[in-house]
Amino acid sequence: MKKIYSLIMLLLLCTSTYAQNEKDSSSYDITSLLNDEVPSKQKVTATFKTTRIINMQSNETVHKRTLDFRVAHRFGAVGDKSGGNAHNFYGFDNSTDIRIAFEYGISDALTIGFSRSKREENLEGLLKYRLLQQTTDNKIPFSITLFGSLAYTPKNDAAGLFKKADDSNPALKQQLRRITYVAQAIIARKFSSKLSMELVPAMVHRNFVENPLDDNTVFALGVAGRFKFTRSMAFVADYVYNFSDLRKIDNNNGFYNPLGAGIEIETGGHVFSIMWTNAAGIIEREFITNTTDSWTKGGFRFSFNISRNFRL
Amino acid sequence: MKTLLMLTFLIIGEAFGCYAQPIYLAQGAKASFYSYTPVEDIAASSQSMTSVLNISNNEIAFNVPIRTFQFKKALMQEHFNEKYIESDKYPNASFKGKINEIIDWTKDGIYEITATGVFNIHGVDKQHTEKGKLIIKDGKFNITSAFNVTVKDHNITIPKIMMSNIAEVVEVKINADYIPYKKDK
Repeated sequence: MKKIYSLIMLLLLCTSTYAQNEKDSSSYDITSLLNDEVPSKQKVTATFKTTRIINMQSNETVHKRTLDFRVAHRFGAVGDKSGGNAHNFYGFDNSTDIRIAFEYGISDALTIGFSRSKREENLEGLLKYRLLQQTTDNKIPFSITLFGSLAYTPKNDAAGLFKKADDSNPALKQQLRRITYVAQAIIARKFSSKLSMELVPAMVHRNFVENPLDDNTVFALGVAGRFKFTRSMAFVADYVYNFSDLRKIDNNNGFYNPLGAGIEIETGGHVFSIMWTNAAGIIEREFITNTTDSWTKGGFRFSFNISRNFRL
Repeated sequence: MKTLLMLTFLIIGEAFGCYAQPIYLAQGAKASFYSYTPVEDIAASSQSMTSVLNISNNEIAFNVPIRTFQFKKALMQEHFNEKYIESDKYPNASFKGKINEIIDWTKDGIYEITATGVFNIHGVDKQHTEKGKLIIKDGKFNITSAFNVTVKDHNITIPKIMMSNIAEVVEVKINADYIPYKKDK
């Protein structure tokens, strides 16, 4: 009797649990379950299309084992107050700077580069390191890239600019005076697939300055943006504000803050940037501290940057 | 008394069996795709696909974040995300559907299966019925499948200049290992 009773109990129990199970299983929403399990944190890529905006660095580095060959031109100023006229085709005949650069991605985070510019005959070595990358879940809301460069000018010193009478080791001192350093932190955010912006605190240190009123170390803050209006074209703009007293616009010392605006076109491995800027020089030590043309006086010039990527 | 004890064990065992979760989860599953043209072969793969399987009603769902697809060429990966799939707008590819065959999920073996459901990439749904293979071993499952996706079906436009480099039909392969789903990990 007991046996039969137990068996009935067992059967009852199991049917009841099976019934429960069926009810539970149909109430599972596997889509929401799946969404809970999908990793939501990914790195935000392509904040900017290339490593430069117009004058300024973007937070982008060169991809691993890729060589970025860059050619940049700054032509003469357009307006007649700044030297542009019909005879030089509004600046086209005068190039104020030409830069040729090779920049290589040792890893996705670290870029090394070397360049030569026409202006001041600058030879430049650069390092760029991606410190932090924005994530899609916004736990890291922005990207940070560090930039450092050293530029050396081998220009002819007939005027004895780099010489000083009381030098103890004149040959070495004269060489050191030709060197300039730049350090920047590039803080960028991709707000949407179309809009990216960045802030760039910058420092330029020159071992030697001609003007006794000038500081060797100059601080500046850059701001830049990119707005994509088709899948391969974007508006780009950047501006650098100088904190140096000598370069305050109100002080009328002939220095201006560099402002650039233009269009960026991407075609496969090429990026073309076609723009106008009042900066005559291309590398940081030139456009941050030595911009002497003003937009209001017609001192803006046609310019372009070309970047070509080769996978090595 | 002996029989009573045995029955008690049976009841407990049976009860546990009945309460077992019908949900299985695959994490870090593989998804890859191939585009073959005379000019160029392109391949990319992700190890970040997630899938959920409900063995009580054969429902199955997959999701893979687009950004996790790795290409050999970094620039190609950038173009894939930025220009073609627009991963900022459409971050995931997904499939949700049902396995059509009646399967005894407790029996080890290799089964040819088909699944019918909706495949979504680039924000565009497309009905699919695709073949796959199910391996059941020791209460764990492995599902593999290979199927074709027509790029045009999902409003993915390829510029004329790239037409000879990118295939119109892309072959997709998946491979997922399932284990019982535990809510609190």
